Amino acid sequence: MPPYPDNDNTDLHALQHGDDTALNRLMTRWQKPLFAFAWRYLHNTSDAHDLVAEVFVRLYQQNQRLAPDTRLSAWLFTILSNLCHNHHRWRRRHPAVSLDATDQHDGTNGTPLANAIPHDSPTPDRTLERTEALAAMAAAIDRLPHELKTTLLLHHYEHLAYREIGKITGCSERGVETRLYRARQYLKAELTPFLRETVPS
Amino acid sequence: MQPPREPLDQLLDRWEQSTPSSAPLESEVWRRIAAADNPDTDNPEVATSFLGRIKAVFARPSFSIAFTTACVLLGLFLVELRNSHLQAQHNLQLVQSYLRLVDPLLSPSTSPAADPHASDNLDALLTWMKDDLHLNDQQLARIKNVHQQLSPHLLALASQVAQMQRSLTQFENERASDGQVDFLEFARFVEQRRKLDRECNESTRRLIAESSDVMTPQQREQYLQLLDPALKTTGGGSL
Repeated sequence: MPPYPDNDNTDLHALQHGDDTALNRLMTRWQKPLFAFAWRYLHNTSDAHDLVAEVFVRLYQQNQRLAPDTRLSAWLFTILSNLCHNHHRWRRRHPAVSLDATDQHDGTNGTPLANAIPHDSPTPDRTLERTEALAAMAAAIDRLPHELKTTLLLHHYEHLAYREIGKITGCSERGVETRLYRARQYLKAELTPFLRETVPS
Repeated sequence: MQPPREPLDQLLDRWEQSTPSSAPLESEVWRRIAAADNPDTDNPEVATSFLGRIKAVFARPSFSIAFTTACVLLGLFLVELRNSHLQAQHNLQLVQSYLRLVDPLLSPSTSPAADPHASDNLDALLTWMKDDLHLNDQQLARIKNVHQQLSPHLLALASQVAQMQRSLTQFENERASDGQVDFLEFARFVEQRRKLDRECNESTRRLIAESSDVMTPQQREQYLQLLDPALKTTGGGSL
């Protein structure tokens, strides 16, 4: 994740002193990583969009409560991971077919399979196998418990340090390491047939 | 030095490439902020409807929970208040009954002498005193003894008070029918009545004092406090 703390603190300070345009700057800076996290967590574009918007609304509403030296990235990911967790639980209890259901668990963002195939793919069979592997991995990640899933996503995709992940998930660096190990072990066990066939893309 | 990348990392990396791009958020975020600041702007009908406003407020779980809790607490408070009021009224009635029992000057027409259940009434009142003042069995026995010892004298006094009340009525009837008053006899009557009043007050005071002596300071204070409003109500302030 890019190191933005100085800019973040400057913008937070401005926001706390009534400069609403600071929120726009923060949105520009953090929308993409937050959306990516939410999308990988929920596998649903509109839900991810909705929750990220909610994070920024809460930032605006609660900015006066934040200390000037708050690590904003940790705060944003903490709020977002909690929202994702709640939303995921709610979805499990209230199953429904999403309008963009095609991007559920296939890891291809709902794009037609033909479009998801890279032009330099060796053969259609090989590409199909890779797509299946992606879908299986997305489904396996979805089955991970919240703590393991959050830790894995923040570490692998947002490239956060153990210390920062610990702040977000409320555990020690050692705990983060353990969670990461368990998440990887689970995925390896679930994806054994695909991992044997995986080759660098 | 980077650790060697495992096949799982390669698979995870491939997912990273397929992340969709997000649509711009600014307008949506500011719309929600404005809606939160002014919850009725989204629906003008709701804004103009008082019922709509109420519904909107109660739609918030935190408010509805707080409101329900407040209603329950208010209900409990009102029930407690009513119980307390009824208890206070009941206590006052008991105290007045007690005073009528120990003060011959109060309500002579229903004096203990005329009440065949006086002893039952005394037991009931002493039981109430025991509960209210937290008297132990020993104290209760001594207080009961005090009351029983003075009871015959109080009954006699009550009887005299009733007799004098009848005499006064007779004086009044004679004055109304004959238009004459025997002032010497009436003066004697007044003197007797004053003497009887003093004796009644003295006897009642003695009974209360002897009962108080049996009690602890806290019980005594509570006992006298209990009697105080009843004394004022029944006009027994002379005690």
